Amino acid sequence: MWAVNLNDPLKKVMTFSPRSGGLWGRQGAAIDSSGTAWAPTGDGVYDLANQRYGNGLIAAKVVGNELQLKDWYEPTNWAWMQKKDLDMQVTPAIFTYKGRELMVTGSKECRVYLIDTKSAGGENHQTPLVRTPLLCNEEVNFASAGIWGSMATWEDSKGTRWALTPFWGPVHPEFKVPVSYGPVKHGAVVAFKVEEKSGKFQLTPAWMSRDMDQAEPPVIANGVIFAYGSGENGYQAYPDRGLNDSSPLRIKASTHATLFALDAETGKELYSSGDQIASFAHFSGLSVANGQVYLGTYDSVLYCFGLAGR
Amino acid sequence: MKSILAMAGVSSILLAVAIAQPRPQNWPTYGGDAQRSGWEKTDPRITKDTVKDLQLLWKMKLENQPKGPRPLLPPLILGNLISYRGFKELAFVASSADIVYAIDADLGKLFWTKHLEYASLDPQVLGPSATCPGGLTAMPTMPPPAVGRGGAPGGRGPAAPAGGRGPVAGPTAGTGVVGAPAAPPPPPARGPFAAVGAASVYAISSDGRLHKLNTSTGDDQAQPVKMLPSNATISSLNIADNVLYALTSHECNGAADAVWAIDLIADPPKAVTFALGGGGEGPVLGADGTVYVQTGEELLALSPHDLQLKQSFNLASSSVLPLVFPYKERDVIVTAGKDGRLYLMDTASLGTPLFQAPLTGQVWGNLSSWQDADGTRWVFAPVWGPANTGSIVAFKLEEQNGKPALTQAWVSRDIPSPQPPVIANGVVFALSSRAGTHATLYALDAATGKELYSSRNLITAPAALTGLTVANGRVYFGTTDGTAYAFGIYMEH
Repeated sequence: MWAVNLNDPLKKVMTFSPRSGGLWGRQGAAIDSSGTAWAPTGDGVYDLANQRYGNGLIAAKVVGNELQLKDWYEPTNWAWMQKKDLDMQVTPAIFTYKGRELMVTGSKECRVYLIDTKSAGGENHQTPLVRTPLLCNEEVNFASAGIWGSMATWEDSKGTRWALTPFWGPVHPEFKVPVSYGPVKHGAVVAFKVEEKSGKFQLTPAWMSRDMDQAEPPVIANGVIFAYGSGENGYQAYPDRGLNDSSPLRIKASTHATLFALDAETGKELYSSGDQIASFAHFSGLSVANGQVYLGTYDSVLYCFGLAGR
Repeated sequence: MKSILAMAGVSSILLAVAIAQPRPQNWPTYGGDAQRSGWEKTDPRITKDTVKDLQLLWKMKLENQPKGPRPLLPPLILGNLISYRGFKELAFVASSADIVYAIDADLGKLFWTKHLEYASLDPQVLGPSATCPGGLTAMPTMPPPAVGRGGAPGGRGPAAPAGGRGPVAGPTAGTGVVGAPAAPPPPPARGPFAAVGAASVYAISSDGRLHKLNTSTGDDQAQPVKMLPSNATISSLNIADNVLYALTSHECNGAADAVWAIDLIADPPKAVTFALGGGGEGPVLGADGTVYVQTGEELLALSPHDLQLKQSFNLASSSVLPLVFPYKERDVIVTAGKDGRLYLMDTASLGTPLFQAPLTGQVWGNLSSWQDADGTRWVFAPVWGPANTGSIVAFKLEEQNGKPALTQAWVSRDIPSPQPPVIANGVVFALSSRAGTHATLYALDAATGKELYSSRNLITAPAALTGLTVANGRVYFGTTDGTAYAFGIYMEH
C-alpha cells in the first residue's frame, strides 16, 4: 500500500507491505473516517509471527511520515482459501450504522463479511461481526465464480442500511433469499439489510437480482441500483488443456456488457441496455452522476446512459 | 488492453503458485514412488503432535465386483490440479469393476467417473479366487516428475515439454544467418501415450488395454490399445522414463507370468516381456532404472526398457515386494525370504547379502522405508503372525563393524494381519486387515512404535488387501465392501 501526504513539501512516498499476497482490490483501498485505508491482500499466507498478512484485509494509517499497520482481519479458513486460490480481493465498502463505522467485504470464496472498523475481527483478528454462508461458488472455483471487484452500500429514506455485493457464476443451492428473479447461472447482485437484533449484527438477505453475465459492482442513485454483467469470459482453465489463461481465447468467448437498472428496495429490473453495448468490459466500473451512468468497455468505447432531454 | 486482460486474469494464479506454502504433494503410484518406499517426504499437516486429531473425513461407497478381497485399489493423489472447475486435490481410485473414480479429496465428492469398457474377443472372466479375481487388478499410476526421454510431466500447469523427444522448437535450418548455430535435429516422433505435459492417469483394464486418462475429465487421451492378456492378474503399475512396467502372475486365464515393459514413446506403444517361472512381485525400480522382481525362487534385476537379465539371487520368497533405497551413494535392496529373514543387499552385487535379519512371522505385501531428520534409515515390515496376529516391526539400518546391518528397533502393538505401512513426517500408518472383522487404522511414532492414534470402530468392514496411500494430511484405503475411506487432519473450509 502506498501513500503520499500532499501537504508534505517533500512528497515522501510511504509504503506498507503485508509481506504476502497481492493487493489487487479492484477499487484500491477504502478509507474510513479516521483516515485509515483498508485493502484486501489476495492469496497468501497468514503468519503473524513473521508479520505476513496474506488472504486478509489490512488497515494502514499515516502516522508522522510513516504508513503503519493499524489493524487487520483474517478469515479463519485462510489456508483453505489459499489452497483453492479464493483470494480476499474485494475492496470493502465503509458506512456508519447506529453510530458505528462498519464495512462489508468478500472474496472469491463467495462469503460476505461485516467488520467493525474499530476492531477488525475482534481480539484474535479472525472474528467478524457477520460471516455469511456461501452465496455462490459451490464448485470452489478460482475463476468465473465468487465475488470479484468491490462492495456497495446505501441508506434508504427510512434509515435502512443496505449492503450490496455482485457475484459471478451460479448461486449456491443452499443460499436462501426471499426475493429473486429466475435462475441465476452466470451471476447476480445480492442485497442485504444490515440489522442489529438483541445486540447482534446480521446481514439479512433481502433480494437477489436477475441473472447477469458476470455481475459487476453496482452503484446507487436515488433508490435505483445500476449494475451490469460484464459479458467477459472468465475461464482460465479448460477440460482438455488444463490451465491456459489465453487472452485470445477469452476475448473470442466473451460477449457484451449489459447495463441494468434495478429497484433498490426489491431488486426488480427497471431497465436493460439489451445489446446496445457492443463489447465486454474487463475489470471496469460504473460511474453515476447527474442523471447519467458511465461505463467503459474493452474496445475503448465510453458509454453514457441517461434520460434524454432531462 | 489485451495484455492487461491477460495479466489481470493470471495474476491470482501466479500469486497462489508463488507463495503457496506448502505445495500440495502427489502420491503418483503404489507406495508413493517407483521404489515403493511408502514414504511421503513432505507432509505439511501430519506430525507426531497433530496425528492424535485424525478424523474420518469422508467415506464413499463405490461400484465394484462383488467378489474378492481387492475391490478397490489405493488412490493416486494429484495434489493440485488447476482444472476448469477450480484448484482440485484429486484422489483417483480404481475398482475391480473396471471403473476409475476421481474424487475431490478435499470435499469428498465425486469429480468424475470413467468406465473402462471391456473390449476383447476373449470373454470377460470374473474368477472367484483371490489370486485370479478378474476385473481391474492393477493400481493405476501417474508419471513421476522425472525428466527422461519424453519430457517432464508435472502436477500442475500447462505442458512443459522437455527432454530428448519434445516438440520441435527454435529456429529451423537454413535461415541464412552466417555463423548461426546449426539447428538441432528434429526429435523422433512421439506417440499419443507418451508422458509429457500435464499429468495423466495410466490404467490397464481387465481386457488388457492401456488407457491414458485426462485428469480433468477422465476422458481417454488416446485410443486405448491392447497391451496385456485379457483377464490377467496384473500388479500395480510403475512408470519411469516413459516406460510403463507391469507384472502378470498366477497364470490367470492362460496369461503367462511375466514382466512387461511398455514403451510409451512408440506409436503405437510397444511391449517387451521377461518370462517368469512361477509368478512374482514387482516391479520395483532402482534409481538407475533397474527393474527388480521377486519371484517365488529368486530376486531378479533386469535392465530398464528391454528387460535383459542383469543379476539374480536365489531366494525363496512368498509374495513380498522388494524395497530399494539409496544408502551411502548406492542403492541397496531389502527383501524377505520364506525362511523368515530380511535380506539386505547391495544392488551392485546381489550374489552376497550384506546382512540377514531374523523375523518371527512372515512379511506380507511389501516393506516400507524412510529416513529421519538425523539421517537414520528405517525399514518397516508388516509381519503376519499365527492366528491372525501381527505387528509392524521396525529396523534401523546401521553400521556394525564397518558393514551395514538391520537392527530391530521396535515391535508395534498387536495389529492383526497388517497392510504394508506408509510413513509421513515421523508417523507410521498401519491398517489391520483380519478377515471377519472391521479394519482399524493405527498411527505409530516412527521412532518408538508407540500408538498415537487408533480409528477404533470407525471403519465398518475388513480392509481390502491393497494397501494405504498418504498425502497432504490424509490417509486413504479401501475396504472389502467397496468403500473408500479418507482419514486426516481437518482443514476448515
